[in-house]
Amino acid sequence: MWLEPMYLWATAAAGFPLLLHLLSRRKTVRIYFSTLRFLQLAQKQSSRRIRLENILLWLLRTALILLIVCAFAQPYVRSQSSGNWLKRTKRDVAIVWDESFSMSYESSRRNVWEESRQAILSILARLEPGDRVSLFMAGEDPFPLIAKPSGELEKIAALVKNRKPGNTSSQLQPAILAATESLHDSGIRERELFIITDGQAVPWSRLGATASKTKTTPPASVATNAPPGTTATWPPPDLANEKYPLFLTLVGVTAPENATPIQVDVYPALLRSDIPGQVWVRVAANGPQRESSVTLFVDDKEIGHQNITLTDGKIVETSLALPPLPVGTHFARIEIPRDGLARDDQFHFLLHVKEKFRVLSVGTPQDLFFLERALNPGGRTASLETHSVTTEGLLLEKLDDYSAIFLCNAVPLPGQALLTLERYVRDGGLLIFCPGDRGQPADYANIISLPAKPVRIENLDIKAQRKTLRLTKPRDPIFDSLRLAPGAVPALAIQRVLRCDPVDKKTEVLLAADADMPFLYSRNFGRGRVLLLTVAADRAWSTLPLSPLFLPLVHQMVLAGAGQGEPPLATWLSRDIDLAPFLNEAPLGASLVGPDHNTIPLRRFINNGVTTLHAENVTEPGIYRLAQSGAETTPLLAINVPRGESDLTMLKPSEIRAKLGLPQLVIAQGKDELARMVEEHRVGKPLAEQLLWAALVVGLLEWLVANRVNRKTATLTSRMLIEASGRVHAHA
Amino acid sequence: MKEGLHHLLLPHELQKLSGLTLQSRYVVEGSLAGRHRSPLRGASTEFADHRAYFPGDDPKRLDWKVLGRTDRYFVRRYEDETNLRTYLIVDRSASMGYAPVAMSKYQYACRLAAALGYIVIKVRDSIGLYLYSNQIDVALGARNSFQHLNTVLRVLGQHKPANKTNTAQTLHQIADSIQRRALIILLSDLFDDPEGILKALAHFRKQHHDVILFHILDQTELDLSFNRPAEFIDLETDEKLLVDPRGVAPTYRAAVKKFLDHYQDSCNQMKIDYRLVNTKQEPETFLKAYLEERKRCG
Repeated sequence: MWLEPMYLWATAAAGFPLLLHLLSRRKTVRIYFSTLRFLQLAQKQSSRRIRLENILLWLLRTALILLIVCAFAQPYVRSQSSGNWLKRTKRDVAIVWDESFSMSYESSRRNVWEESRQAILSILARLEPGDRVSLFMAGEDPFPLIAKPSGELEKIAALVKNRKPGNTSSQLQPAILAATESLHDSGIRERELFIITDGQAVPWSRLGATASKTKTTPPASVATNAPPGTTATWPPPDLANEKYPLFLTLVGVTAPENATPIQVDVYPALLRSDIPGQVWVRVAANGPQRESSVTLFVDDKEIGHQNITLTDGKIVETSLALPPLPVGTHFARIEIPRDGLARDDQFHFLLHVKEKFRVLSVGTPQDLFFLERALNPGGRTASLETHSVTTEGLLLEKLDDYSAIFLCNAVPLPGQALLTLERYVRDGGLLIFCPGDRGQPADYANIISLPAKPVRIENLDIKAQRKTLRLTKPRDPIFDSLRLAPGAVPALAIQRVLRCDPVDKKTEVLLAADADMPFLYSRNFGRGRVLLLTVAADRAWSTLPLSPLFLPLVHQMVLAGAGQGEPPLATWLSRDIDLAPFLNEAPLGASLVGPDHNTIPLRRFINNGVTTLHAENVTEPGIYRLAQSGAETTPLLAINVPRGESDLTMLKPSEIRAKLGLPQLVIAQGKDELARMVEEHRVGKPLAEQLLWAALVVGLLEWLVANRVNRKTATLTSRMLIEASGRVHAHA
Repeated sequence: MKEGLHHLLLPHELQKLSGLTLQSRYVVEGSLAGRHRSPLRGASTEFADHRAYFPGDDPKRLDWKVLGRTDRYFVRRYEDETNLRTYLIVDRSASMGYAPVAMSKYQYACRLAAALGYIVIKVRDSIGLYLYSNQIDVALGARNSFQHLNTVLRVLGQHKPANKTNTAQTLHQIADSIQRRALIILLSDLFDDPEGILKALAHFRKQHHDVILFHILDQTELDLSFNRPAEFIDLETDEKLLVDPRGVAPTYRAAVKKFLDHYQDSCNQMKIDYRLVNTKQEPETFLKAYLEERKRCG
């Protein structure tokens, strides 16, 4: 096909070389020569070469003229065969727009989101009336801005112009599948699928797994086995069968610089107003090694600052001191200097500070004798407030008020008490079982939260009674600040022990007596934790209550373990946030107030009789407060943008091509290249430039051949040394 | 063509030739006393040998010193010195009429012959002429007068290049006709069978003639320096050949060089003084350079 076919008339000029050749033959000069003997000899030897050279010259000159004429006529090659004869086909275009927050990357020269917007506007600008577009935002979930192909191009352009990048991570595969589905019913229209993304590896992570998996099976089988519209396999049948092209535009920066605090831990987990704490921060980075810093803000006041060195792909860990804080919930954030991706430069979290921990001890006064002394060694301590009840009195207590509950020789328990305790642990409570003579192993069978299943109570031989305690999990928070008196050997005499079998893989042995006897079991249950001592809190079983280890162990179990069930410091931004870890119940009409003071209603979902609260369409990171009618707002949630998206490791086009495994994939770097490739696909690939290059090459060849033909070889008189006297130097 | 010496050579050209001599490298047999060595014993001052005295010998030739020493009669013999008889053999075949510029090879040969004749006659040597094409067209005996030279040059001027060449056979006939040792100067383009020509030249040498071969060729014949394809017509045979000279030039030059080398090598072997004469060079200039070199090298 030709863009300027009228120039093809000039192909007649291709006959000029032949014409000139024929004319020159007619105008042959006659030369009377002394003898033809040498000419005949030379002609005989050279005629074949001369003829070939002449033919070659003629061909080259004709080709040169044809190439130049063709270049002016601007030929192009259609890549879509259907378009050849249809001339102009209506088309449906599906666009997948990556709206993850990595698309908001800005550098001094580039704005990735703006470039992606311009790429889409460029796609829209190249459509004709009658063409239709569907537009899908690839965020945490695919979100259709235009679900079905629509011909209202101006409206779509307006939507694109007003769109801002999201705050979540993205997965491109679901959006591509949805976009493919939107083109499924396009009939005879030409179809094109566009993906606009920054080339970040994260959105392709899941695709790689499925794509590589499907590599073992032919696409045809995928197409036949997968029900239309419900398949999640890759590639989708329409794409697998190469029915239409897929244009992938990479608008990202090839070597981005970004750093982000990815994790914050507070120690101790449950802060008390009278003790200082520590905030541990982990910072991940992309880009060259550079100096940076982390700053801790609490209630909008700068508390600490720490310099760090960032290295590409490495995680830097640092800590900042946290001074004692007043009782209550404080909003805090870790901040690093602003970089290309500003949205993840802050990490918001909440600090819950309590004045005292309430501890409930269940058992008879005799059973609780040593425990109460250990919890209150000098009467009432500043940090712990203990309360004792019998087994029967357990049901009367409101367990949520207690940070920890000790059950000393309290088994068997009534069924109602078991349910109450189970719910208490699920909601984040700490339950510590100390066996006793009252309960038999079978009595523990109904306690499903136990870390180990008691098998028997064993009386140890007097020779085997001396045991040395050993920390099998020294990094457990319980032992973090466990300090024994100098010279104290954690040695015990154990007369009786509760032998148990671990329940499952979650069961941990935190303490062991010698090598063979588990001493303290632990297991997380729901959001809480259950500890099981294998000896009673009574000296009838062992010398534990009398040992110097008992008091710090009991305190540590309460102080470290009790904070475990507290609400998480922060959570990630999501379209639907489950509030269960933060809020068990809320009055009707309660809502969340976001950092930009917008109100988000709380949604209640009842599943299997359990009511859970959810917040939907939470789009901004920051501190969210619970607002109740007539009550002051309290900080409830600290929400951050998902940090997986902060990893700006970019994929190379070849890697994306390998992941997608689609032969019709066209990858463009930026909107200009995309426009050119789209033009090549729709109109065809223009060959004018290539033809001009070819003409140049042919011209050079013609010049070389013509010079070879007309080359000035050394004349005989110049080669032979002929003196003025006619003497010829032989064989010169 | 104008006839006579003064029509062929201008005074300043004659002036340039004055003082030049053409010496034979070998003994020659002349009819007059001259300045060239003769195979005979004669009355020159150059002592040759002794011979026993026979009655009738001139007593003044007796070598008295030998008689005094040996008491035997010997007469002294001296080298005979004779004049040089030079024969110009000029090719007037059609190929010699090749004239890419003003002067053809034949005209060039005529001017060269005039210059040679002037040099020869000036020292009282004799000049003769054989003009041939496919046969001997003219044969003039050797004489030592300017009148004869003018006759020779007139004959040359009266004939035009024509006919095919038959150099070899003609040369044999000429060789047979020249009985006494002489200086043979052949002026030709030698476009004939080389082997036949070389045999004819050998014939001359066998008869003890001193042979000079002036191989007259035009620059374009050597280089084929034409730029456009052309139809070449053979002057002798009227054959036609369409040739692009730029394409065949290398092969042509190689063939011509082989042709020239063959003549040169063969002439060297036969002690024939072979000279390639390019018509681009003025005849007088060439001749002066040639004769000076010949005199220098003996």
